[in-house]
Amino acid sequence: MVALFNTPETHNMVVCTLCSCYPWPVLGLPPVWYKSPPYRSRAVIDPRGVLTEFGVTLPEKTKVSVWDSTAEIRYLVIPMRPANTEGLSEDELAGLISRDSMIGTRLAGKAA
Amino acid sequence: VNGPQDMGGMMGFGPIAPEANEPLFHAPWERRALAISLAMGVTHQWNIDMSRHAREKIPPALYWSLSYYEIWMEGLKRLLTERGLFDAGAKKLPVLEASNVASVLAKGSPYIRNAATDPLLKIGDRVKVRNLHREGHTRLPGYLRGATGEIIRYHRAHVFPDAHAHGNGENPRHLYTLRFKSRDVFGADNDDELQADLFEPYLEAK
Repeated sequence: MVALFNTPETHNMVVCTLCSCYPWPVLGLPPVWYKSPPYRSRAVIDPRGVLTEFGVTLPEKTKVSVWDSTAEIRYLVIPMRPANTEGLSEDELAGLISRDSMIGTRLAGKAA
Repeated sequence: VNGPQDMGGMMGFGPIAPEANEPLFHAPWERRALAISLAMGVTHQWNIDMSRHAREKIPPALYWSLSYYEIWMEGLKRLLTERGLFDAGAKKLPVLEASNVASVLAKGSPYIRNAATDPLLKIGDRVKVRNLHREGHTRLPGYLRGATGEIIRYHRAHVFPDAHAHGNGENPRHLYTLRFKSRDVFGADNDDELQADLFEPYLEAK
């Protein structure tokens, strides 16, 4: 499995246009939208439009990097650490992470 | 095959509509469909590439009208029919016991193999994707045909789906991750990138 680290310069997003390849051992079964034609068709041609549907708008200077899982390599996105989280415990940080943030269609949550 | 599964870049499927607090299954039969598919998988009457190809051969109009697990069941029906396995007495098959499911799932199955030849390409090479239109199974998405990209990772050799799906052995081939500019592939007006994992026979050196 390959971990893709999001940075201020690059936002990673994972898709399987040909079927439904997904990091099962870490994330479990994929949600229906991940396996369905709207996401599989648009993630590669219109990733920013897809992100908008998830409520994510990236700065223009952030590059979107889409990974199509066409073989047996599996990809997992490591979301960027949100601001003002330096003092948080591991459990508190884990609470900011969602499944979708590890597919790359959402960002990590904000610190309370 | 240029089938309904190869939908990267298509338009008109509507909004993505993620479901909040989505249940793992939307009906009891879906849970069963997953279980049946996994249980049949361990009987080794076919491999993963054959089962993918069975789904890809569903006629497009039908494929796009089916839900995900309906596609799985339609593919399974075809695999069973082709092999004459619908008759319960046809053949004695290994049984996946409920107590073994977790360990079978956890085990996974590696696809890395030794190749008979050295890789022809290396990280940093600019390569062109061949204009292939295979009637059989392939893992080359249509939207990348003819595109030029850069090799950014080498994964050693893997089972080659194009052979494996048709009973032609594992025929291991070198596997690379290629990076493409969205500008080159889809005419994007930004610096976004696309990556895909492609086998050596799909590629030619520039």
